[in-house]
Amino acid sequence: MSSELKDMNGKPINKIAMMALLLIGSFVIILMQTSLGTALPSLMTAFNVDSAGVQWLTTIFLMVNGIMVPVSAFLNTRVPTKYLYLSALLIYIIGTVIAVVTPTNAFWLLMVARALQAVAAGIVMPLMQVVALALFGEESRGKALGMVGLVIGMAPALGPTLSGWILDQDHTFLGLTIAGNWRSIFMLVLPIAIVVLLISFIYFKNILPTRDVKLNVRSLIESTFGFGLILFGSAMVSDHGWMSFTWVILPMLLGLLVIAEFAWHQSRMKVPFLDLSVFKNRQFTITTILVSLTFIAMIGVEMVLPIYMQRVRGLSPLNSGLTLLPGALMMGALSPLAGYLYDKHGARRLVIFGFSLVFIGTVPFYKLTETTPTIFITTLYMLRMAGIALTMMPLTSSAMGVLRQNQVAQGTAVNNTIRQVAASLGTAVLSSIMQSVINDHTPTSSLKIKDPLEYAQQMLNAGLSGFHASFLCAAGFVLVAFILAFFLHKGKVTAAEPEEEKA
Amino acid sequence: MILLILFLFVALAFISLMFLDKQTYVIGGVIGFIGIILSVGLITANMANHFGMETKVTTHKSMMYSATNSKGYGVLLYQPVGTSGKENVYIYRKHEQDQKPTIVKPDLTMTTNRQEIAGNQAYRVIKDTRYVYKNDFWKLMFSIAGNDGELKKRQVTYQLPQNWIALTTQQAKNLQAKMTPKTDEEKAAVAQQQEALAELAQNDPDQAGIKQVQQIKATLNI
Repeated sequence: MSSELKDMNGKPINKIAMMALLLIGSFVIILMQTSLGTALPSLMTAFNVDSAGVQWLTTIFLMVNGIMVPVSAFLNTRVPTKYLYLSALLIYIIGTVIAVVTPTNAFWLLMVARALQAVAAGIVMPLMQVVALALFGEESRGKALGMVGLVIGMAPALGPTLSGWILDQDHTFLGLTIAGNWRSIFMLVLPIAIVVLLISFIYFKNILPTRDVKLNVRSLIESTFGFGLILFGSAMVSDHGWMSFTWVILPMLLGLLVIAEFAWHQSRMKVPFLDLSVFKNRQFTITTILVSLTFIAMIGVEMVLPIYMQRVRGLSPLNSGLTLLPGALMMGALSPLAGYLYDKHGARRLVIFGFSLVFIGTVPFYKLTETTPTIFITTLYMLRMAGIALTMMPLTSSAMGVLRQNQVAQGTAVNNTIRQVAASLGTAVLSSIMQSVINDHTPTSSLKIKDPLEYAQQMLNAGLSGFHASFLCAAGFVLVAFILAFFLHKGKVTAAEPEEEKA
Repeated sequence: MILLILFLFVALAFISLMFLDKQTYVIGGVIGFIGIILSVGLITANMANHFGMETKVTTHKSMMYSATNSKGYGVLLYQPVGTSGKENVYIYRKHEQDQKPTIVKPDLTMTTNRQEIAGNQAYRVIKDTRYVYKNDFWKLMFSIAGNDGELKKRQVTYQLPQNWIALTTQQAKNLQAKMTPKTDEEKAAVAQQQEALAELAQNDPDQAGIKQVQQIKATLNI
């Protein structure tokens, strides 16, 4: 099989080397998505900005990343694979170098660096998926995406732990001293990215057919503003609440209008910028909804649990990261296995089993107390992540499976876009539910003077009820997904129109 | 142990559903799932309601010594936490030779109170209510959680005999100002009092202590 695989110029491809380069490069790029979370406090002091200001480093990444994903459909059909990947790596390296050298009086420069990193992440996330599918045949589609799942599931989960470890103290590794400050977070990934870039010059080949499509500027502007505004609105929910007209309602409404116009426009184009007709396929639609729910369930709890462990339990960012680390590793280990099993059985059985595990692993968090043994948190989290590993990539494989070969780039872009938007909205829902329940239960500040102990107790209870509410909501999302999973096809699905392609 | 059991059931359900044939996979899957739900249920019950545990009360009584350099009588200092005055920070000395006094701040699991007792020695009584496992079976099941002996609540009672006095830190400050003689007559009166006390202390030290405590109470009007 591997000896038959040729690139677009008819030269043989080293499949393993190419896949490895793709996965490692993407891993360091996607790692940046979450790795600044634990570093925000130290960045606040270094750059002398407030917490709302420093939050922008995360928001800008999320927005730019989300804007890039729909554009990826165009990029993947227009730009040869090799140059697309090399430019993504180069953009990432430039962004990271800027971050390393940013003087502490130029916060905007760090924002630019983050935006560049996000552009790279927005390119590689879909690229990784499309290339993996092209490298491996239809019969090992699950295996290919299983490896992709290892990266997109593990990198965001490892990010906070890794930076927590870096920030904890100075480390000496192979005679090199890694200083315990935020610059090291960027410095550590830099050599890896450079090495991957250099080797990719030789081993990365153009594997996807390209067509000379013209960039439709109207679509580009519409998708950028539409998705950008929706992502912006959902990022602002945690600070301003759902009811804030200027920060949340207005941008979301505008975003929705632009997207509606975008969709209408796409349906009338001969060669759409983002082919939304893939939604006409019922299986694709169901699997995309399920992937989105899985993503909400994963990212939402990934965000809420560290807050609980740091605020209620007083754990350091490193230790709270370590509590969740086994779960992330579990997901990494199971993801390729899930891919292998998808190739054997199809998605349905895996997904139903997976969602029941996620559900069983989420409900107990509703009973979290201030003394819950951390080992139980780790265990339940592992159970959840095992379930997520069994659902996410088999679902994506299944979504890709129902599409024709020439629709894969489009399907990937659509699938990933919806997933990103759903994740931001889901996180916004969970964090705002948590915050509003906490606010409702927060005791009056006069009690703090009258009886500080009673005040502390009520604050603790308020925090716990907030966490309980958001975990209950997460469990609700999973339950919906579990029920929807029964509408999946039995067995492995393949495109309905293979005949005309063979003919 | 419970984690191992959970793992085995997950593995059973997983392997049955993924690798076994039609008939057997249903059996394995059902058993596996019942097992998973039961073990997660037990974990939840333990982490939320201390399932498999009971409370055990232990009491520890230790002597305590005056927080100040008072001679013949003892002082327990305290400072109310917040304006409601439900809980106090207490200051005393653990050992007679301690240079620095011990300061005990209350927390969410601790409550304190004071009690008058007979005799001439002050005590600090700690009553701890802890969660312990009911039997070895549950201990084996959940021991990995490390919650055996987890403190539920702590009740601290400060037992003061008649030759001890409990003062707020503010009262102790006022006392010093009020006790310092200003005029010559006052100085003479104090000297006379000291002499009488010294004599009494020789014959009946406890009575001397009680007398001093009464004097302080009179001075501070408490």
